[in-house]
Amino acid sequence: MTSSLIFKPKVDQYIDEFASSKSLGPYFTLMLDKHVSLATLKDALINHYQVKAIEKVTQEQTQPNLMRLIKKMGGEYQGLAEALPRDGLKVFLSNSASERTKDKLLQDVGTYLRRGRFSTSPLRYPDAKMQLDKHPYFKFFNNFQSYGVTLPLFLCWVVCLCISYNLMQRKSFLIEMYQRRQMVLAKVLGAGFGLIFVIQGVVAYQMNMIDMRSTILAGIILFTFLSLVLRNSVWKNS
Amino acid sequence: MQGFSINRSIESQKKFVQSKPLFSFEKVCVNFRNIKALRSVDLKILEKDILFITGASGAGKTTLLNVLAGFQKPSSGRVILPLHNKPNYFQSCVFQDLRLLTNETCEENLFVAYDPKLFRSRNDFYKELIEMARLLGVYDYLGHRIKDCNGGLKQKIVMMRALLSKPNTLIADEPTAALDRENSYRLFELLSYLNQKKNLTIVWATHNKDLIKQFPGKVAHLEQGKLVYSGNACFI
Repeated sequence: MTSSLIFKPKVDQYIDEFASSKSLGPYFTLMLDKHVSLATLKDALINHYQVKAIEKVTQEQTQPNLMRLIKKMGGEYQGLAEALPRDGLKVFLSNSASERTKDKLLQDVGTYLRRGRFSTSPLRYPDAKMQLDKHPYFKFFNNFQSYGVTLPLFLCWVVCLCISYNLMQRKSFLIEMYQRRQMVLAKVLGAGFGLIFVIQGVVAYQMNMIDMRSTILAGIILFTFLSLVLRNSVWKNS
Repeated sequence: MQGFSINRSIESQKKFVQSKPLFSFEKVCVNFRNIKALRSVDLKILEKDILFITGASGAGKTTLLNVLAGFQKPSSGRVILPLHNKPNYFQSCVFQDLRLLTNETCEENLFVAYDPKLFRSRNDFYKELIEMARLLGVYDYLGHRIKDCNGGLKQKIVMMRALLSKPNTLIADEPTAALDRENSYRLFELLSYLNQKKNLTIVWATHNKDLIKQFPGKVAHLEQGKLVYSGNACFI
């Protein structure tokens, strides 16, 4: 979505502003072996004043990365896979947090960690994409994909059309009457629908989401609508 | 003035010989359920004609004009329009209910007729608009909204709109009904000029007998949907 042709400059500016605000704060990942109780540790961490949120990292999420890492390291480390911690927690800290904050936090919850093995990642700042994905505006676009652009646009267009249809019909009638033009209303509506069709196509292409079924369906709707209005306008008294 | 009229009549008689038929009605009938609006009408309108369609209210004048304009298809009979498919042919209509955009100004309503195919620029169109507005005495009212205008002014605007579209044929349904004698004459003077100089064909439904006497052309008189007289106005 962020690479969309139409909104790119705006979105880039938005990302910069959003990322610099670091509204979600920095985070680190804490990987643990089975001897550490995740629930107890989570309860201890969440009460800490520097911790903003905690997400559980499951074995399904870590396994592929772990296997890739071991494969890179070579055959002699194959046995290590079993011994490495699998489950973990992603701990989000407050905006002002630093590496020292993380160390202090680990010291504070040290009693819970003493029983088993654990490892931590360095403190990371969430990237713009992750932050944007959590924002309701981009959540909407992620859910509706390319229709996130065209659907609101189409709805706006339909509302405007409903409001101004009577006036458009009258003006089209007068233009057909007093200028050497035919089927003005049909052409205007066709151009409007066509523009939305093209925008949808461009956005879908940008997002690599061109769906042939939807394209054919939209084409059929466009064609049916135009064949219904493809005649000269009539004057309707208000 | 009378002499002028007779001379004009002879001129128009000469024209009849040279002109081609623009509309031909052959036994045209129009029925609305049980009402017979037109009954077997035979009529020929030539290029450059001025044709007055007369008759009492409900005689079928508007129906006849609607058939001419192509808004109404005949229930039976044939309408032959030999020039209508030619690319340069264009006809304008003046409707009884005026059909103006009431929330817009007179000028905005007139700009509806601005066709870039006919005028080099909006400025050229505007010059012609101003000239016509001065001639018909509406120049001072161009900025007024239609809803604030009186009936006479509205009718002049409607006529101007039709004429600014530079038609070959003008079909007008009682366009002087709300105009006084002086304004009606001034308007028809302009139309006569356009008829003479620009070969404008005029089909005009009216009750105004003085106008017919003053500006002779042809008359088609309808009674209860039947064409009872069709010929030169000076014999009516």
